[in-house]
Amino acid sequence: MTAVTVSSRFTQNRASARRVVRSILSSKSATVGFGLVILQIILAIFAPVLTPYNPTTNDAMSALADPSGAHLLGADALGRDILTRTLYGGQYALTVSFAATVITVALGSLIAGIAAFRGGIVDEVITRVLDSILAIPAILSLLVIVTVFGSGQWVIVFAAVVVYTGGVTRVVRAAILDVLSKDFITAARARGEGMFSILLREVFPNVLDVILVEFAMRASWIVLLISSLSFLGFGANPPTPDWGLMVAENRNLMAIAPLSTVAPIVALATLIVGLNLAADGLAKSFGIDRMKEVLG
Amino acid sequence: MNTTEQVVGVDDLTVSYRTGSGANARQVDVLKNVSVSLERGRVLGLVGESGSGKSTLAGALLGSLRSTSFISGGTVSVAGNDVFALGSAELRRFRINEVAMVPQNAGNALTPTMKIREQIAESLHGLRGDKRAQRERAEELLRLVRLPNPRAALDRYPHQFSGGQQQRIGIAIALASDPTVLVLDEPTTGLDVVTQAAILDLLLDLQRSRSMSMVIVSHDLGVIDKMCSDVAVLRMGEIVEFGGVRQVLGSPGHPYTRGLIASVPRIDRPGIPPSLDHQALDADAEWVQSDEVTLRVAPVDAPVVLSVRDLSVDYRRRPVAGTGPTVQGVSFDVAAGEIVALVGESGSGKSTIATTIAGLQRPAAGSITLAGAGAAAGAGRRAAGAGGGAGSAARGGGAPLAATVARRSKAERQAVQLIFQNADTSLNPRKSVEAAIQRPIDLFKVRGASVAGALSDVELPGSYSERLPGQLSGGERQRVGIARAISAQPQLVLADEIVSALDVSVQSSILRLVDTLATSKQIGFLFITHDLAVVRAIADRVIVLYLGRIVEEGTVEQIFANVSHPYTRLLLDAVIELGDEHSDTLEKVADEVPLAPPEHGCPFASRCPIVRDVCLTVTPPDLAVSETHHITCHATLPELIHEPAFVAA
Repeated sequence: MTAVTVSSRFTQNRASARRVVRSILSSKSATVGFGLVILQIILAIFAPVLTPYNPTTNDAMSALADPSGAHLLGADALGRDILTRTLYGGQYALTVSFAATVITVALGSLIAGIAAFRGGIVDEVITRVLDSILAIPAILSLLVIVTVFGSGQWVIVFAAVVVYTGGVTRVVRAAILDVLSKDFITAARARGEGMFSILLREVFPNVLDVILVEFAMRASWIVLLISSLSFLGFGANPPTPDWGLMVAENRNLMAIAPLSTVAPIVALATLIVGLNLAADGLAKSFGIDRMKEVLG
Repeated sequence: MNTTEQVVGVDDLTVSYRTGSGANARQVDVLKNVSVSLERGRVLGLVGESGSGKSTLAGALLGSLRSTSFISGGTVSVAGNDVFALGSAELRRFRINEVAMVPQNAGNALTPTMKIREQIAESLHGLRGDKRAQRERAEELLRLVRLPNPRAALDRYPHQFSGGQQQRIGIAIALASDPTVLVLDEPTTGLDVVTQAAILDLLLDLQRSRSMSMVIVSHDLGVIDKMCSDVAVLRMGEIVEFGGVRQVLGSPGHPYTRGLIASVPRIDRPGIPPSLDHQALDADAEWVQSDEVTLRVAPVDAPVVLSVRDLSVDYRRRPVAGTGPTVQGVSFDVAAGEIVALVGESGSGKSTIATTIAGLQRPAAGSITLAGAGAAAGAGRRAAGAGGGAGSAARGGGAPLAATVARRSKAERQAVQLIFQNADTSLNPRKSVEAAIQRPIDLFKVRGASVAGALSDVELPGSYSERLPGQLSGGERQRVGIARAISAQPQLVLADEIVSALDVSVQSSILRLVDTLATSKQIGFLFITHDLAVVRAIADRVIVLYLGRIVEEGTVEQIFANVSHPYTRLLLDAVIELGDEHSDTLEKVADEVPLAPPEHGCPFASRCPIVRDVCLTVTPPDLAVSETHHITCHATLPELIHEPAFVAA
């Protein structure tokens, strides 16, 4: 019987996954969005294969070289290939923002679950605390965190988590409250199941759609946030190939070597647009009102 | 006025929607070649089960369809207008002048942020701009629908009214434009019996005094029988029978109508009626419904599984002067294999009692004792008395249950299981039937229980285990809910309104299942319902609750016999059934239940026809009619005797 169960669950999951894929493919903008994100991931992973250069090795001979067969997008002031740095920059942006988004969404959902389930004073305290964090301008809390803990990628991840967890909690909590009023939750409570058992077995599977959309949406905000921090000099340290840092380093050279700033900007913009379109597509295929999500 | 003038004419109407895409695209007919007509001053009933298309037909009379549906044939004409040929401006004028609709749930249909006066004024198109005239007309309308204190009501908001009052306001708004045809979609579904009777009496008076034409959509044959002069019986989008109400319901020609009538439980007849067999009906057009009822046999000398003693539940955060706790002094027993019905109107505290027994609501006082499981598990656990005293340990020998489910032992939790009213929300939509039933088996490590066994107990095929709740019908979902409860092998099942959301044809099959399970597995059922006919069909013993206090308790025969508490009698009189003499209207009693029980005296005093001074101050004594029949009342026994309205068949 266990074999039957496993296979039936498997086919059910596969069927619903196929339904989501089909509905994403039916929307042109969602297809473009997922295409852009997947392309960025592939380029980042295969960066070492795609280019013969090292992103951090200086080459005085080709400093500020114009685009040519050797350097397709030219080289920067230290002679590093711009295309190479842009491709490797994707690795940094994607890993850090992926880690930050996973932690943000997981933590936010968990807090949301506890607040909604416990209700009463626990809910009150959690939501008030998170609301007051949301009231502080993001850039202010970021600067405080960076000033206290210094720079570095884990500090950035921490900063993103602090800034965005409250928003995730708000949205997911509202979705969970809706599920908690259902009778199957009462049945589970009457069986005497614990909070985490009910949340994991009964609640989260029913808000997975909201969480996935939240993930895609927060990812785009976090990518932007991390690049902004690097641009301001609080994120990645030179010579790390990072898009925000590249723009900051090369903005004085915009007149001489415009591609050195344009390339990372285009890369960043396509990733963010891709993530946003993907989030929209997911939301539409799950039937979630994205405007409501954005406005909280 | 020409009395034979036709005001509604639906001719060969087909309404469809398209589903699927590409090669799978097909057209589904919601209504198929439907023809009905109605003359001025008459009342047409549209009756059928869910999905029969009766609401779609009612909507079509207003020129309103769901956005995905379209007319694929036929015409609808109302008061001389071809409804679906009207342009948008004409349609607007038509809806202003000729038709009005009272929606099913007036509470949802009224705008919560608008005062009653403004909502009525919206439909007073002739008086636009004249505030004073609007106000006067609105007050007049509210008086017409017999809303208490109409002048003050104008400046209130919808949430300040009870369900019945909201429905009256909905009717007032519909009458504002003096429509030719009034369409009512399930006008009393969801209201208590007494309120329902009062609203229907009001509608009949209005209809007669203004010789209005009405179309009433209902699943309730009693309501249709009382209200209508003509009736159309719908099944799966087709009219199976159309004609005068006495003729169609009195001597039905179609087997479906006969089956539908036979499957309705009645308060004047014990036993569970046969269920309507749709498959047999589809296979053979001449199929004859058996009228064999299943008679319930009460268990004899069965051990008590649940004793509730002096239970009180209080939702008030702090005492409110003049009111008492929500539930007070409730004591009763449930024996193994026995079905005990807990009856009362909404707000009577019947669900509160169930959630308290389940450990989801903390009692203020009293004890709940479970036989067997409590005794076995009680040793290792401190008797965690909640608030009040531990109470006297009842028969059965168990220790009192802890107040909250978290403090109860696994065996105690296993022994009490719940079944819910709404089968849609009682199953997790993301989990298969198998997962839903397996969970209690795993959690309680039930020996000898299996998903397949539980499914066969509820008469579902084993192949259903892989399905998701979305792939089941309402009745099948309710069966899965029952399977989940019994797979834990409980001693007691709390069944909260488990058949009230189901169609009658499904209802009787679920009742029969409960009967079988109670007897074969010796499970005690606490069966909570507001439907007296269902009580008569399924219960062994009945507890009548009013505002959280027991007013009468007895065996099912005793409750339905000729000695009753005045409240029970009011409930029995208010029931509307097919074939009753509908001429007599309910005695004019207050049809609204007070918001909170009084602090002292009898809870029913404010509505009681035989109330006396002592009722307002002193808690009524227990009046024992017989060993098993108890009435809580100050009156003497002879005063409580009434006509045996329902002679046992």
